[in-house]
Amino acid sequence: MPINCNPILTLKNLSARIGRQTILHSVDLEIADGECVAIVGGSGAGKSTLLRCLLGVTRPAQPYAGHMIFDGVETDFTQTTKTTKRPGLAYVPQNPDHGFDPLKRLAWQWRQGARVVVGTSHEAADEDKLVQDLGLRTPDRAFPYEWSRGMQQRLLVAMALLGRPRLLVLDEPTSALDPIIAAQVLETVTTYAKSNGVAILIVTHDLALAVRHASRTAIMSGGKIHEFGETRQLIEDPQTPYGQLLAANRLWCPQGDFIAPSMAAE
Amino acid sequence: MLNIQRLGLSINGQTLLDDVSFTVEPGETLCIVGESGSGKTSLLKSIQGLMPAYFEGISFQGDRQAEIRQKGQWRGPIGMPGSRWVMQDPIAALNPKIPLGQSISESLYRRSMPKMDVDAAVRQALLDVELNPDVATRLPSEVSMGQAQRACLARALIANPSLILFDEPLSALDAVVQKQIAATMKRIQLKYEIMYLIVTHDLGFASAYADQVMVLKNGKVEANQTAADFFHDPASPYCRDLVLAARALGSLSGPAIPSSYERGADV
Repeated sequence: MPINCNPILTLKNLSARIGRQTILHSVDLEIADGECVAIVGGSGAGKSTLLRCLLGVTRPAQPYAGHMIFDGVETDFTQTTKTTKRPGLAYVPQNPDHGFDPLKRLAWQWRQGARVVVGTSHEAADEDKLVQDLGLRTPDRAFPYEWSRGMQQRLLVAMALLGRPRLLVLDEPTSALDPIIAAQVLETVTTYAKSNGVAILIVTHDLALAVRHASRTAIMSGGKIHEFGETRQLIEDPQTPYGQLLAANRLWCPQGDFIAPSMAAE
Repeated sequence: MLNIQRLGLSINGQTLLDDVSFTVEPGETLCIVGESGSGKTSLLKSIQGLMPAYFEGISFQGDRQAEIRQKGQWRGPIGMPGSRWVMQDPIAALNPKIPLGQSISESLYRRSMPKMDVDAAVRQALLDVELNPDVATRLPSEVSMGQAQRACLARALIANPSLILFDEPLSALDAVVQKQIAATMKRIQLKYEIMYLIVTHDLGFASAYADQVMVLKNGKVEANQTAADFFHDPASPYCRDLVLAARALGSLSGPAIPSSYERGADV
């Protein structure tokens, strides 16, 4: 994959802590414009904390070192203490239940989303086109539960894309959906992103998913990024023990045993 | 052997399961696959006796219950002795206030077993699930998700079941731990010849561990094939979509189905 030279996001030396416990240890990350990057790691690796820092949510983890350049705007984590808005950055939660208010009609929630991200300068035609691109109909008076989970998830993606973000963050995009719907959602989103030049950051525990979609992958555990490089190269020749463990157990082997028990992950 | 003929379940006039039949032999794994709301969990619940279901016949370990359970009558709980249940979220399945060892041994106290035997049985169950016996004194909040799920497996195992029902046993765990626990499950199955009924979304897991794959859709059986048949020649277009979706997500690799199918791929 060609990495063009203008990165949309550069993260240098980010460290964060909750209370006295350090959660992130000087994390570096770089995402090029229009690129798809995955962060892979087990439970407790610090993936969610990293995301929260990127999104500017400083609770419960408090970043205390490092800086970030996103879309030309620099943020110094040593100084920023309060939550900041990052207009070009959009986030889709893991589970549609976390994204919608179950008691409000979808049309109302859609309007709210549009008002927050676009202000007054949006056009109804743009919205309709976006919704159609993702294979949905314009949200009506239905409540979230009346739509299937796949449709809810895609509507969340549409809401995230309303503000024309430069970077779309997908947190565990497949774990709450069954495989057919998950594959459909991911395929639609990546196609849309490719044709519109939106960069994607996928956060997952499943290396197989990263292999399928991401051009570059970061392997994370214990609050550190162990490896960051082209996905293909990373699964063929992982350099660190944790990377080797993940790469060896990327797929289910037939009636297979667990590979490389030299490093107990539990 | 577990043999179920024409199981049906309807609640408030809504049919959740219709005409479900299958057979599982000792030491075999049946994976139940299907989209959300297709009745997978309802099937497990009605087998365990938590939901009232209709049967034409059911036999379990030679205990022919078919005569008592005639078609068209309300059955009430089946409550099969010798079957145990492992749930999706291990932390929710364990009592947060009592140590793991006590959770595991609870079913033994109902059989009024002396404490020494109980302790030995807990130890053996923990060793079987490849946990250090010392975790018996810990609370669920003090162990990892993977360890908690192993403890749930030990709790099922301590009753010497011949059938264990798993409701998405691995989906709360991360990819590496999933594979470790799946390998443990297989070793236990080989050792004790237990039948496994596993509800799963992960076709990669099914391709590695299932002997039979049953696909449910809207409460009906869409396909019931041996695993080899299912992954090489899916019985219906819907099953083909499932296999293709799993490949699109990367959890299943290789040319598992004839390439002539691929032209219609819309996932």
